[in-house]
Formats: sequence, structure tokens, C-alpha cells
Amino acid sequence: MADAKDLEARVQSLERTVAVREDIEAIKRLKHKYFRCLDCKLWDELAECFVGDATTSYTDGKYSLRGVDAIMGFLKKSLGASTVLSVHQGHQPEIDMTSATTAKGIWASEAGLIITDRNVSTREVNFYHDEYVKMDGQWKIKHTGYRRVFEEVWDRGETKSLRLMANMFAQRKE
Amino acid sequence: MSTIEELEAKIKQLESELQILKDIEAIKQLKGRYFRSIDCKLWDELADCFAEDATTDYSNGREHYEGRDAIMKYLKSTLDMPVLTMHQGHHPEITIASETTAVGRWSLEDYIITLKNKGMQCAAFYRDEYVKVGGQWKIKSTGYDLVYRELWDRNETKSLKTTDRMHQPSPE
Repeated sequence: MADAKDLEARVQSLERTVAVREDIEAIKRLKHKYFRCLDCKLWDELAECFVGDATTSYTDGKYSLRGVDAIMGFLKKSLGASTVLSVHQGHQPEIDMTSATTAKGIWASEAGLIITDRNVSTREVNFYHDEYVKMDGQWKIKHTGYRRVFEEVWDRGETKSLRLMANMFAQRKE
Repeated sequence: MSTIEELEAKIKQLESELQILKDIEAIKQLKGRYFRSIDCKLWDELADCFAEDATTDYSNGREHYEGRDAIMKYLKSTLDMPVLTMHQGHHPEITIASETTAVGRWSLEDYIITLKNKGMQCAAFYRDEYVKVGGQWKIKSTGYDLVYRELWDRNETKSLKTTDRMHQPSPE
């Protein structure tokens, strides 16, 4: 039979294993929240996803921002208008724990915009490279950025029959 | 070195943390089965995803139904025909609230080819409640708010052909 010393070592090993699974689930959830807040324009909840000194390298580094205020300013400017409908999807997370409180992640991403006042659609396929940090028990984005595989844009007016039937940000008719 | 009592307490803590991870995985699989049953039109399997007293608030709450039978009647009325559907759930945010209750959010992308060859696409966010009944997680309430929905005539793209389909139109 195992003695108490063996049992303690096995319990400690299990604790580390379970903690890693919990951290990976929490990091996936953080990224899911990030995408949801982008598309629903929930700026306060989105800001919670970042650490104060977070950095970005969006669009192949074209938008390299430092600090949550600068990042939020950029995101609100890009996506804040009620005429911009966005759908951001993250897939295939590859999350690696680099310590008990730091991690890296790679995500495949597909994102599309419908710009209603110009009647234009865009679609882009990207790979995100992120770094995460655990502060006071909460995982936050420390760095995020993506490289593009492609982006395409088209005139929605070319499809004569195309109609928008629902729009989360449509101005209410008074 | 830890005493047996201390080790037992740690093991209990681990058991409870592992149970939460297993419940989260089971709920993700439940939602996967729900979407698969919709697209494959597996009505018995779909009904099995719901608690008997389940409720829905589909399409910004416009499609509100109470009870599994009413929900299944609605779903069959819109889907039990050779319409082709793709429903994908992404981005699960699952919170286990107790040993037998949980809440979840998902993003939805769907693409539908109607009987008249119309294309319909939407993006939406689901807000769900789950309940564990007899050891099985079930949908207690579900519904979504749309980001957008768009509709167009696929015949407008002259080269577009549907070259395979799971659900065949009736020969007429």
C-alpha cells in the first residue's frame, strides 16, 4: 500500500494537472468573451479582458498599441459605429502554459464586417498570437495580435436580392 | 508532511474541481448534439436535449415556447422539410452554478438554403440555462439575440449549384 508520502506526491501532481485544465478552460473563455464583447459593442466588459499595460499588433503589426486605454480607443473607433456590424470567430485554440500565471495561445480566426451605410462587406482570415497573464486569480490578455491570411471586400449592392432582415444596432424608428 | 485528514480534504477539493470540468465538457457536448440533431433532422435525439419544462426565446424572444412538446412542434414546423441548414455554435462561456444547474453563452452562425433556393445567414448570441436531470445535462432554457440576419436569392449567382444534399426534395 502507498504510504502517506507517496499519496502526498500524487495529490500534488493531480493538483497541478487539474490547475492546468482549469487555466486552459479559463483562457478559452476569456477569448470567447473578448469576441462576444467586440461584436455586441460591450466596451466596459471588453476592457476587463485586458491588463492595464496590454499591447496589440493587429493587422500584421499595423496597429501596434500600448495600454488598455489606447487599445479601447482604437477598437471603439474601428467598430463603435452603429453602421458597422461585426462577426469575429476564433477557432482551434492552441494554448500553452508557460508558468502558473502566464500562457501563450494561437487561434485561427475568421472575421467579417457589414458596413451598412456603404453597403460593403469584408471578410478576413487571420491567425492570432496571444499572451495571457493571471492577475488576482483572473486571466487577462497581456498581448494580442494577428497575421492575415487574406482579406476580401465586396459591394453588397451587386447581389440585387440581398436584404438585411435583422440588425442588432439598427436605429429605432421613432 | 500532510496528515491523512489534510490529504483527504485536498482530494475532495480535486474531485469537486474535476466534476466542474467534466460538467462543462458534458454541456458543450449537449449543445453539439443539439445543433447536429437540428441539421440532420434527428427529432427524437433533439427532443432528448431538452428538459420537459424547457423554454425558448429564439429570434430576439419572438419565438417564445414553453415545454418540450411546444418547442419540438415549433422546430419541426420550420425544419421538417428538405430545407438545408447549417447551425454552428462557437465560443462557449459555461458557468456551473450548482451541482445540477448551469448557464452558458454561445455565438451562433447559421446558413440556410430554403426550398425556393433563397440563402439566409445569421449571426447571433445564445443565452442558455442547463439542468442536470438523472445524471444528464439538459437544456432548461435557450434563446438568442441576432447581430444580423440577411436573405438573398441564390439563383442570382448563375454558376452556383448545390451538388450534394442530405435532405432530398420530394420528387414532383
